[in-house]
Amino acid sequence: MAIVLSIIIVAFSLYLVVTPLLRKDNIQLPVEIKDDTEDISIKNVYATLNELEMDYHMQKLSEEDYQKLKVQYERLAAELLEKDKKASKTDTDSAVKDIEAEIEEELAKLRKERGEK
Amino acid sequence: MHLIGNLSIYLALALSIYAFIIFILGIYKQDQRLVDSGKAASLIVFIMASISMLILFTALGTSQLQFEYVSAYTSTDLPILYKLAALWAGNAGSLLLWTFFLTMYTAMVVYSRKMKNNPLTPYVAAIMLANTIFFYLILGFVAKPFVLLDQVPVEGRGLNPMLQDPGMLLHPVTLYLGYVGLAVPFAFAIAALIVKNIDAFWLRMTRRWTIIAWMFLTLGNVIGGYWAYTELGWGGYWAWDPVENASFMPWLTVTAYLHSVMIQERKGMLKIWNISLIILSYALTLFGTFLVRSGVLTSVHAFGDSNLGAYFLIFMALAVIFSLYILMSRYHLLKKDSGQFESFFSKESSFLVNNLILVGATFAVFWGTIFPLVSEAVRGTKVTVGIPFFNTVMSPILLALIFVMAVCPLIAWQRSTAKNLRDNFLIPAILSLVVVGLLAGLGMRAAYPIISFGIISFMLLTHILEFYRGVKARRKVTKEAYPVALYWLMIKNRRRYGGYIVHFGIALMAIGIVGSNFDTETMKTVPKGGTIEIQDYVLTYEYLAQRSEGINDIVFANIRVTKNGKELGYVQPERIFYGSWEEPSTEVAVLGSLREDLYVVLSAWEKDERATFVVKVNPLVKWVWIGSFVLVIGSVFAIWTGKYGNTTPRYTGPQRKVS
Repeated sequence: MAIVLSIIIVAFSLYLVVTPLLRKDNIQLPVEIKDDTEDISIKNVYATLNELEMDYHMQKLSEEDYQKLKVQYERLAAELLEKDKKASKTDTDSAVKDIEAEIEEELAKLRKERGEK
Repeated sequence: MHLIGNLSIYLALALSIYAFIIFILGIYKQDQRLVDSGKAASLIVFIMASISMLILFTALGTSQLQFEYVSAYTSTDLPILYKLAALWAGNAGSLLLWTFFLTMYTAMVVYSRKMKNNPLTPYVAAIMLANTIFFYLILGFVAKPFVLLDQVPVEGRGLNPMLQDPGMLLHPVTLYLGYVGLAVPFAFAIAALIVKNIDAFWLRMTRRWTIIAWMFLTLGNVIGGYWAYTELGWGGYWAWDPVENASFMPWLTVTAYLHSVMIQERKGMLKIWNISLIILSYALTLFGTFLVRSGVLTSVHAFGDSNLGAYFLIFMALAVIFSLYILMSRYHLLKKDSGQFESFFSKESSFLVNNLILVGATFAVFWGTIFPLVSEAVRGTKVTVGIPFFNTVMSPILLALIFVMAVCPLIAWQRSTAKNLRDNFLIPAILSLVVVGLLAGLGMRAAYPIISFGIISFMLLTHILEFYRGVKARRKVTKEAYPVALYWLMIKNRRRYGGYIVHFGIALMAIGIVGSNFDTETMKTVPKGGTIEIQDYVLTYEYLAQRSEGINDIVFANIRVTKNGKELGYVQPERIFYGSWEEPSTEVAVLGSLREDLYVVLSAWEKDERATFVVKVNPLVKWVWIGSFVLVIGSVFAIWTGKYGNTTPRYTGPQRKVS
């Protein structure tokens, strides 16, 4: 009984371990990790502004420090937003260009076909 | 049964080696199929460890005395719970429990939804598997749990009576969960170093696992203390025993990490320091295990009957050398700290001070623990470092730590001004001075405890003020009712307020710890009907009697207790004589309140029924246990997943006018 059970356990284990190896497709490992600990997202800056406001209301920050830091982080937020905007604009621009190129290509193909006829 | 048991051990060993190799091959060849096969193997290793546990539990529970382990640590007359708990009474069983947790954590990491598609997964798994392989090598060749005896004995040797206590059901389990739990952040740290990158996800995962390990480590230590208090009968709960120190040291370094990681998250600083703390914490858990298993130091945890310690020492050395090599080789590659300290009056500065104190405390405990070994090696004589050394060194450290805890919540990140500091501290400082005055007025004369209670109340008050001001600040914007504002304040900042709850727990525990300065003790031999007076208590020894429980004989004294003439009831301290164990054990009688514990030990008795009792009045001990509950609640609150507070505020460096 114990021997039969042992064989079943070993067979089951081997089955589980070997199955992935027999797969034909090799789904690629995900891309490399990016060190994003230095990146500051707009969300982070909002959280910072939120915390600064809380600290100010809780009297941990002086009025002067609060105003100075607030301006500093609002400026950072504006910079980040500006960067985002630019990035998305370039994205849209390039997307439009891509579409235009594709249309041109299609049109050229059609013209060629027509010409051939 | 033993066949399946042994199969589960050796198959797990083979599969963990296979998984380790296949993960590395998978990483090297960038082949997901190999990694998936490794993942499956890790899962089977966990299933095998579960099977081993199940078989050993079954063997212990049904008294299969043909197993060497069962006959060595149980007897047929043991209550079923203790038969099962004998799993961690000996080396083989407790290492199996350790391995089980390790494989469980590995499977959890590998199959965690959060780790899906994360390139770090095979690295983390491989590092954890390297640990697993070591434990399976020990289980397979040194401390084997499923060895059969040539002759089946009629009865087992029984379980050490000291271990027959409810505390012992939980102490090793929680402590191991904590110890092994630290392998996870360690694996994450090393994996991050190998791939030369630390991302925000790494920080989040490591922090979470570290809090879990820290919580279990705390629980393990406190439950161990509770067991010592009720079972050993010496009147205290912490004796700076080498093995207690061994689990206290990683607790200190992990506490330091949990604070310093916040500086990294918000300011991008202390990257190397944080990784070093994780590596150090893990190395200290291995060091602790080496101390327990080697028996190089005299300890209440007397498992040191084998050469296991040497293996642990070798493994620890390998782990430390490997980690240091990785750390050094990646040192220059890790991005340099982007932030810097701007003001002495800032939260990050106070966290840094807290770190220095905690690491200093770790060093003090480490030195006190290994000093007997050093002295033996250098001078040839083993010098015992006693409780007074630790108390003298650690008391000011604890107070300094509590003071920093008091200051920390009231100052902002980046900068605070002296004026704000003064405004925030004034009320708590005055109120704590009132507490000091009251204590002195009530007749307390010892300076140390008065100062301690002053600092603890200061810490409690600054925290209460922090909650109050938080609620007030929130209400300014939201106009919510007070309880609603408090609820949302806490829910939206789980980490911060969970941490504050933990601080409350520490403060309550500190109250109990300082209380031990005021314990009083008397030892008296009294005839039947005689009385013992201690403080306001009068104990009347009424009679001595005997009863049987299974094969054990219990001798107990019946004592009537009154306090200031008021009847408090009866206590029955016991002495238990075991049918299957030579040494009798003590069962302390504790009559406790929040104010103090009356602690009675039946020491000895004569034929004429005269009996000797050790009676202690231990003030405020209950607060240690209450504090630990609060601490666990705070930890769980902090790591509970919610949809709020997932974005960490980020602080940039100072704005420099020149460059």
